[in-house]
Amino acid sequence: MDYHVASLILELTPSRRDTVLQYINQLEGAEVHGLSDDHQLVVTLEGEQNVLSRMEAMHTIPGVISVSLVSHHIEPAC
Amino acid sequence: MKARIQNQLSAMLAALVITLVGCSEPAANTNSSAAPANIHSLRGKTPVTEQAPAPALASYPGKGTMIARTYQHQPPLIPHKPDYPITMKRNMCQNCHGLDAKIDAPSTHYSHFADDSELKGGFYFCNSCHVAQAENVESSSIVGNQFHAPGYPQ
Amino acid sequence: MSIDRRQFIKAQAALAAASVAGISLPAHLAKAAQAPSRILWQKAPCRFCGVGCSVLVGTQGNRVVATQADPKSPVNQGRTCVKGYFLPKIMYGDDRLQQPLLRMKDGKFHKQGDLTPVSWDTAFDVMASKWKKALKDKGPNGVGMFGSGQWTIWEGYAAVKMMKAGFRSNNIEPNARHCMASAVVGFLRAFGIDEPMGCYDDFEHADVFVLWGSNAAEMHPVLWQRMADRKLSHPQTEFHVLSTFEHRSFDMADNAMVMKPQSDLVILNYIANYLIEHDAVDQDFIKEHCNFTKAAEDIGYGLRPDHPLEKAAANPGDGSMSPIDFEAYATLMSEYTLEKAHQMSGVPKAQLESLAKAYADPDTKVMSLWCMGINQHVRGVWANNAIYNLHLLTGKICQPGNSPFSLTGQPSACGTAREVGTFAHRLPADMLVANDKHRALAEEIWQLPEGTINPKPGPHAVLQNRMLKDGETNVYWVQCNNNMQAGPNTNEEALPGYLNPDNFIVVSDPYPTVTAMVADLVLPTAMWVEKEGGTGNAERRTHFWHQMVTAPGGSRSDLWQVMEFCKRFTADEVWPPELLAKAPQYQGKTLYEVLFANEQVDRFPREQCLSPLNDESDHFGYYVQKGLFEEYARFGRGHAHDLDDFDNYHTNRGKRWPVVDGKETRWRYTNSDDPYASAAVDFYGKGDGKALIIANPYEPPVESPDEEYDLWLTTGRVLEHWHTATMTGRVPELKQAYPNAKVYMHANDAKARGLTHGDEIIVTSRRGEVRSRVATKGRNRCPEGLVFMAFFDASQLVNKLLIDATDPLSKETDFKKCAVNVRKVG
Repeated sequence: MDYHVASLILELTPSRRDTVLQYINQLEGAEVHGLSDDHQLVVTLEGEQNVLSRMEAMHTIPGVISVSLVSHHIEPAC
Repeated sequence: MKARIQNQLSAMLAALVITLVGCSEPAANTNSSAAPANIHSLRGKTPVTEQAPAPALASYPGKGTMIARTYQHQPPLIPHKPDYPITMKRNMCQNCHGLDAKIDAPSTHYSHFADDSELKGGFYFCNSCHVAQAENVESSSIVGNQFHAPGYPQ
Repeated sequence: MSIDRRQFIKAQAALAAASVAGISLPAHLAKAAQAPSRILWQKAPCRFCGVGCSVLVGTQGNRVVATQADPKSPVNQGRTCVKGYFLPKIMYGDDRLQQPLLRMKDGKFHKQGDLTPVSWDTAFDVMASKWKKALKDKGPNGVGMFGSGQWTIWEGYAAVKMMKAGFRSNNIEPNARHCMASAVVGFLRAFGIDEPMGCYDDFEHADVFVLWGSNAAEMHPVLWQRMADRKLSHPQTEFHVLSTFEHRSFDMADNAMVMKPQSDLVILNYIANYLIEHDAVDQDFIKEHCNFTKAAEDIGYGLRPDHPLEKAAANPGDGSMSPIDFEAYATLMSEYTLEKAHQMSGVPKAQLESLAKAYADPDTKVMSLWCMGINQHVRGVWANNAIYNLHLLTGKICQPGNSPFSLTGQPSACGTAREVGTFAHRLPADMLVANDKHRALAEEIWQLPEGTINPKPGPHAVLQNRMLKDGETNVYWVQCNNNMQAGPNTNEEALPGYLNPDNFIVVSDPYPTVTAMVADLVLPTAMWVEKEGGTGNAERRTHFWHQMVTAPGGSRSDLWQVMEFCKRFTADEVWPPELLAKAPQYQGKTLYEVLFANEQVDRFPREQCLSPLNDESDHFGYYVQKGLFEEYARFGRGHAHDLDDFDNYHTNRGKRWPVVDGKETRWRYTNSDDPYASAAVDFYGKGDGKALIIANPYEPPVESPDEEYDLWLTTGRVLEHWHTATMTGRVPELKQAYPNAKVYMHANDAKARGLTHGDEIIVTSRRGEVRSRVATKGRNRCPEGLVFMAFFDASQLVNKLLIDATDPLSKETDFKKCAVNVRKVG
């Protein structure tokens, strides 16, 4: 099965930072890598399904203003 | 019966000494000359026929800060006292944790809401899954736990 | 793709995004590069209650690192309760037992010695010699076993075979006796077959829910969530909640009723009377589908025969019934007027009428739910039957949403204790040791000579403790339960038996429980996903899981322990020569060979197990669980207890029996769903296809408050802990959520005793005392005259206060009613 790895930048409402982190941490295959001073969160998403569908879920998290895809790599099955 | 209890007590003392000396011994399959095991139930060292004083009722902090998850999908613990009523008329937890809450408390997980922004019925009773942590539990009464999920605090 | 490759790709991706965001993250990248392999998710039923939720268990390496509610489970639909969410930690308490521990002095077994590590060989050697002596000295009842509805299906089945076929002893009981026995007898009396006709799908069809004593909000939280969902999506849904004190389930009540203990019998009969008087009986239904009987009265309290109350009873233990007609039944019910029900229960008349109307209204679908309040009751069987009476009188049964539904306590109370039949009087699939045909069938399936199985039922759970105390049983093996904390009257009946110098007590457990600490031999036990398992939940759903991790140290599963122990006996040692003469092929054979290596249990190769882990199968050299299950399933197939093929249960989320041609049954006794029913309503468990409506009178509780012991004590569970907290008490978050038991009391009762919230108290009954703290506020609100205390707390052994009185028919103890007093410490 193909393996997907995507990286994203999420723009946050500062007051909701902890909540957003909490949500991302429990999304399967999601990992937080850092937060910039202007409230941009670096996240990777990985898994055997197309991970972009999970990006959709992030839009609905309270405190998330925007979600931008930076890279999307598909590693073919071998 | 008394003899047994005294025996248990002295065994525990003996075991304690042995543990101090040899606590790094792995749990190997020992022969019959092994030392007694240093174990007790959740009663601690109180024999079954006796009564230890009852610890004070649990008290919960009025306010607290978010408690980190220790593994994926763990429901968040409540860092404050939990006695906010949930009835069919109103769910008091939602005053602070609802979508429209004015204060800066973590909002309820989006998966718990239906399309109309109301809590789904199956998630209405927050207290089925979210529990508070008493602040006055004697640490000696808490059994350690070796669970650890990589990437999460222990 | 290798893990390294994945980490590399992820690190690259993270770096790309980090550069866009304008941050550098070497530390995080390093962490990402070091992260171990990803989580493997597999399904398993939750380890705890009888709801039978499915969870996904995440493992990494040989460790459980997470669980999540199973979104594909029809039972819990992607939710669990807080206990289920904390499952990943239950196996990792610091004090997991890892070696057998024998009470020793000077290098050998000594009853007064200390628990000392020994090898499994030594443990089984000592055990086997004690078993052989007890069998020789005392006969079949000299050896006893106590298991539970927490046994997996095959563990219970193997234990039954060892005891009933191997040792020819019926002295085996599950702690389901303390939990579900009244429900079982109620089912068998009314319908001739155990377990509910309905299922959880009823929650989404009912208009009215009646909770008879049940506090589902705490004890069956996921079903409570389903009820809440029904209520919120159908606001006209009505909730009637009855209990002896207010608890969390009152949060959803439209009609909240606090009744006096034991008055449920009166309320139930009042409703029957109301239905008759208001012409709400479905006359066609009762003519076609019901017979009427009257239960024998004044049946005692299951105490020792020399107890004054037993001597005073006219018909102690009499379960007989005499046929009557509807008119006679109506006459018997007529004394249960609204006035009487109100007087005896203390519930306002308008509320009682409102409840009666819910049953009477032909247009409402009623789901009645109950659990320990009705079952742990000196008239528990009668109370169960009185509920069925209401559904039968109105024909509100076997249809979606019209459902008398008996909730269960343990994960496999149904699957193991009831369906396998690990009771002293039972065989698999509702069969009985006392029935010649049933024994013959069991002997045929088990390939045993005729006459192997003892026709005399063994002692029930409470009697087992009495026989240990009296020295009639000398060896006792306790698996997966903690009866010194959970059983009744432990001071007077249980503990003296364990400490009796003639007795040898073995406890198998993953942790040092209160029971283990008074045992002579403690066996470290593999738990939950450390072994392959199967359980059966309250709605007849059988559900399996694979072994996912190995057990720590020398821990072994209950199944391994039973099968290995059987190697210590030959048929010649435990069977009389005349029996062995009928089966000469068993001469010199071990019980292991006779019972398990019998070309049935051992016929499936290990390779058929799709999990890389299966310690029992690796050890014995064949797919043990499958062999046991397929042999066991022969008892039920074709007898309305049909189970699916073994392998299917490993891929689905469980199926509800009878499963015929791969199709499960949601509603029994109706041909729209149940292949065994030949009509729209067909109570085929009874010869004539008719269910029994049984007239049961009110009879008083065994003990009531008086001047000296002036309060009712009722006991029970809490949401955060599973029974005696052997597992949940070792999860720090659950321990700190609800650290200790407390005594909930009305503020006026507290004031009258000079107490305020939080004071330390001593609760005393005629049988002992316990120290605790008083709580006049919190999640429970007791009426004046009654206190509630939970039994999960090992440091406050409340069950020693209880009287070991039982329902005389089901032999289930009444844990809900005894008399105590409360005084301040100091």
